[in-house]
Amino acid sequence: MEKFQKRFIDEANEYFESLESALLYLENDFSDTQRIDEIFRVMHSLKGSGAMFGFDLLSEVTHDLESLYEQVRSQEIQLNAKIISFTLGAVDQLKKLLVLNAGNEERQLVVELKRDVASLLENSPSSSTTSSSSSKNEVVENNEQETENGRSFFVFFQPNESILENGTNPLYLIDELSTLGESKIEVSFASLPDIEEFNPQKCFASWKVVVYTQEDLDTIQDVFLFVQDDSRIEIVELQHGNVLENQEKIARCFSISVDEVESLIGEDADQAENSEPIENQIQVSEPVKEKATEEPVTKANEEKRNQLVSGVRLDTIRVSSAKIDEYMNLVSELITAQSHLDLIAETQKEFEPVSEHFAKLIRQLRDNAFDMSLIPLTNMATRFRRLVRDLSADLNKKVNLVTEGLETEVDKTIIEQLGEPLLHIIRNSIDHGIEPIEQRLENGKVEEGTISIKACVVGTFVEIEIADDGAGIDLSRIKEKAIQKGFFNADDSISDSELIAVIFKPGFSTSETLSDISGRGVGMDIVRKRITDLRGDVEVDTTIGEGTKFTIRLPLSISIIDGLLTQVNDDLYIIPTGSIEKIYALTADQKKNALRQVVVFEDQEIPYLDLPMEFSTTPKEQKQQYMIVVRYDHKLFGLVVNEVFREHQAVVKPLDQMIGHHELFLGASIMGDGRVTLVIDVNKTIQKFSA
Amino acid sequence: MEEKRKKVIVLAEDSKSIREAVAFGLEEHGFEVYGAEDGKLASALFDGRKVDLLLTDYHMPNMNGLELIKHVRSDERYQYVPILVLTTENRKDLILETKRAGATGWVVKPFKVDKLLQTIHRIMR
Repeated sequence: MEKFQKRFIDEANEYFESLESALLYLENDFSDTQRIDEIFRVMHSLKGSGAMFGFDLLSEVTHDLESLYEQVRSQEIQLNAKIISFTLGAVDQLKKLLVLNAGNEERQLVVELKRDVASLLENSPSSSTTSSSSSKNEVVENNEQETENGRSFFVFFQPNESILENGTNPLYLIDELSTLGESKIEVSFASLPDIEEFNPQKCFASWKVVVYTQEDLDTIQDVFLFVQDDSRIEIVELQHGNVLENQEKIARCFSISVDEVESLIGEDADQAENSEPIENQIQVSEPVKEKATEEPVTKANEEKRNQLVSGVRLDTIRVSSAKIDEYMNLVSELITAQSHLDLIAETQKEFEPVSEHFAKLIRQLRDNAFDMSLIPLTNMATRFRRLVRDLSADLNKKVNLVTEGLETEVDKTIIEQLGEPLLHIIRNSIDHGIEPIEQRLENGKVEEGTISIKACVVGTFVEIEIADDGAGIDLSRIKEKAIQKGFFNADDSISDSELIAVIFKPGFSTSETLSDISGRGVGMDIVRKRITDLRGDVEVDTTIGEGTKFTIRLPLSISIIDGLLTQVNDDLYIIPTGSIEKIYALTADQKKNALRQVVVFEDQEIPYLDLPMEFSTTPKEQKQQYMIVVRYDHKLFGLVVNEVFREHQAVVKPLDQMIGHHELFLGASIMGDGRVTLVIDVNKTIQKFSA
Repeated sequence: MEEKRKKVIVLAEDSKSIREAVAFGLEEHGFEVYGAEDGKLASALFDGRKVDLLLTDYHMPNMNGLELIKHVRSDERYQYVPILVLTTENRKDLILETKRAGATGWVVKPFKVDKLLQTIHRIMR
């Protein structure tokens, strides 16, 4: 059960997300019936599943919300901004009710939410029609009043002779009836035919039951709901109290003929206090001769069916992300195994074609595995919208969110890690970037600020751009603050990009009073750390008075990379191909002539890092080395290595904390022959050594 | 001796957790359960396969329980398959609608798997 409760919690969180998404869309279009249906259905599911798994409070509130949206759906209530706002808030509260051991706080919350829903239902023009929630409460109350005082019913049940044919066993209905309370049952075979005409597949019995129960007439009728069209059923409420103790009355009930049942009521009229009008007490239903429901299978039906069947396409299946991880892991093991095979093929030529074939298939398999673990950024869009909506309302600003290219797909592990940083940047943009309405008007801007989020794929990277048309970052203020905080000396000459970099330093914040909004949780330093942990980087462009743009660049995937196998001193290193621009041969003379580690190639000055020197105190000297030019921060940068071998598909395994310097490496990769190579983190290496 | 064929149940329910919990409970009792997250997917499972019981939720996306029942009943091969509706409330109008469309019975959520099994045994004989 616990396992399923956990599953339900995951599922409920998905439901909350889809509720938010649908509500945010509805906010712009009250008439979107599809989304109204969706909200209704989700509330319904939450109610049903919540109750199944013991989340009773959640179920209770969603029951009321479902009623609300049922009325919206049937247009008894006109959807408006107030209802949507309320529901969005309620969804947040529902999250708090996703607990099994609810305390007083949660119970109080339920009371409040139910009261709020009730007031929305009351305010509707159709408030005269009782909402299903309140009517249910009434029923409950009635039951409570009567717990001390049950009722007695007389039931006559004569099923249609053919009842057995459609799989219904009348005995079970009698059983069910008797579980409602105490009962006495008499069966009659009065209509049993002669033995010659007897058909064992038909039912010739009828039953008389007197039942004393706390349940009401409706519940008794419900027992026979599915057979009432084809059966003769008569139900009479005899009196309050237990008739079963009255032998005389029981005898009378069992002796009268079916057509006389009404006389039982007459006898009781004086005894039954508060009795309902007679029409309510009897339910007589005559067997329906022709089954109107069973249409013959006509040609039209046949066609319709074919259409339906052909319209069914299993486009997507859901697979748990653990399975995808496992799959990725196996593919990566396969790549390692393949490189072993490759090595064998080098010496034993008859293996060569096989090895090549394997390599090709494994590459396809790898791409396929990649593809599966990619999910579109759209999955985060709802969170963005919600944030913009809530925050702009809180701050009394007008903000329009524009998105572009969110269908771009990114590795799911990246998406999981990316949510917080992105939200923080958006939070900052609304809080500090977009100006208050008056100020915008004063500055000749339109009242409504715009935040745009764009994503696109550039090579093996995905670029996400978050721009606002707000006030921009005041670099003079940053400078002041940075000097105050001791990041710079007052007389240093500081470039704009250096100032912008300060924003990402730990312990830096310009706002005098930490606002409730952006001053919470992660800071910009954490934003940068999260992004660099994902092997990405972030850039800021800002123009005072015009706005700020954050550009985040991330690799499409982080576990398997294409790399260039190189040698530095006696060790193998892999440099991710994605960041490589060019490779030059570099002679010892060129190095000697280089000033402050900058060489000129094709009229470009390229600073470089001499890895053999950096990685060893006794670097391997060679006449000719290679300089691998990588792109960093729109600039070119060279990494000098001793040898360049070939391209290599590297399965990156995380490094243990034990290894020093490990911040320079993305991880390790195992070669086919078992040798371990380190995968160089280009960005971090340059950051460290060029600083 | 030939092994007894497992009884096949198609379970249409959009709540994943309920689907898994019910499927788990029924499989433990020797049923073979095919789950579907909406009516449309469930209807695709009725492709000539021998089905011994359909359990269906009422409110589902794409094709709701009622439409599913109508669809299944429109196929001669499945005219006598018992159909149980899993519903959250005792809404008689809805229940009667499904009954008219061909449902055999209904079970009100929340239910214990034992209760469901009882009902299943009852209608499958």
